[in-house]
Amino acid sequence: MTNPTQSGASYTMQCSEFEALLADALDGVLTGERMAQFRSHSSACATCGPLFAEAESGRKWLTSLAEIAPPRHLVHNILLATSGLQGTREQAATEPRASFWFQLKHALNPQPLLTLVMEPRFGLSMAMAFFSVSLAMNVAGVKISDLQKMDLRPSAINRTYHETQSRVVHYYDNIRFVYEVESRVRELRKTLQPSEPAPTKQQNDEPEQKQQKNESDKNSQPEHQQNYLSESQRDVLLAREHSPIVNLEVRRTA
Amino acid sequence: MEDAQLILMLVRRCQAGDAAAWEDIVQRFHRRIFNLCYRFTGTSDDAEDLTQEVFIKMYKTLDSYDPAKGAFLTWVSTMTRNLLVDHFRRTKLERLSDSMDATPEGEDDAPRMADRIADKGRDPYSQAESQEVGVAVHAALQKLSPDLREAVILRDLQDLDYREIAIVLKVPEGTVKSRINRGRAELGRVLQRTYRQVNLA
Ligand SMILES: [Zn+2]
Repeated sequence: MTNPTQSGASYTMQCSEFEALLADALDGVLTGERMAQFRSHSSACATCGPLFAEAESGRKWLTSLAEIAPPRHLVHNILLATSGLQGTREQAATEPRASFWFQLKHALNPQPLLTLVMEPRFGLSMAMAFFSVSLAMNVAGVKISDLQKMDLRPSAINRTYHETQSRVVHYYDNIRFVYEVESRVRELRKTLQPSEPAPTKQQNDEPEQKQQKNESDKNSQPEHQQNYLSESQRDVLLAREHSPIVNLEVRRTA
Repeated sequence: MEDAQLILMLVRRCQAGDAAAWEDIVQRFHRRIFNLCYRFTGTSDDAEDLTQEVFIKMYKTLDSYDPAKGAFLTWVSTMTRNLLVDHFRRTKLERLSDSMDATPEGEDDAPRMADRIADKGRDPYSQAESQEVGVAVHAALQKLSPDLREAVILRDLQDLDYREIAIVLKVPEGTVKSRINRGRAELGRVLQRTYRQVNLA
């Protein structure tokens, strides 16, 4: 260490030793005497000199590579494929709207829907979800009568949901729209089920349920419920081909 | 680098069934895993599929992660690398039949790469951030044998140390260093050729 150049010159490094130190030298962790010996071999050896230059340039090229940004939908897809959730991070900013989104999203998304059905404390009826979806679709330009022609395979429904979502999100920004939808749901309920007391009860429970729904979104574990759920899900999907009244019945039995 | 304590806490919460913790883990690691897959496979589509595969596997096997046996990052990197090896084997036959139709390696690609960067300046390193150079380095990386490629990616792009890389690749540290040396040198040679052609043009 006291005089690296001199002691470096007094020692002849072998090629194998040079190669073993190459990585450390390029990392900058080789210092003092060893580095001096390393350098002197590098300048003297016809094999190791070029090797050092090439490895050094290769390392520079590599470290110049910037990290590339993954596709924007990647996290979303990963979460869908694993926990079955869509992620709460993007939604955090739009918390007050979550309830309606939840209904729309979960009515069309297989796994979370199952959780919804299985969780009695939610009390959100499938019919309510259906109304919300069909009304949203209506507003977005999809006619309920078209549902009969719709492809009801889960993948197709998913696609329809995504297409619809992009149109609906625009309207959804306006909270008045939400109120309007809710009042239309009430009207529809009155028209369709004048003597049915159940919907009124749901209506009163709603604000509380919305809160609970958001919480359960984070805690749910859909995997364990798959069998039972896929059954009731199929019923709901089949029911969509018929009138909304059929849906109310499905909900009561569920 | 990730704060190991924080990660460990997230993993514990995940193991206890906390979906928010899982999302946090996905948010923290997806970029790193995607880049590892992208640099190794060469294409964004493959990288996307493989990144999803990694997280699906991670989700299923998270309970088996034992902090006593090593850092979470090492565990994740090992899992990713193993899936990359599977992917490589899976696509090997396809690539072999492809290469029979193609012209010999290097002959075809180098001039095209050279064309792309022909109008850039004399000092290529100063241009390193430009997209064309990035493309050239990325393409050169794909010419390395998978052994060398994975070693230099883990070291120079993923910033793992030799000990960690040795665990991920299941080879001694000496072998890791030797592969990194050869990988870097090979890459340096390939790009030197590319830029020499630029200068001649
Ligand atoms: Zn030598």
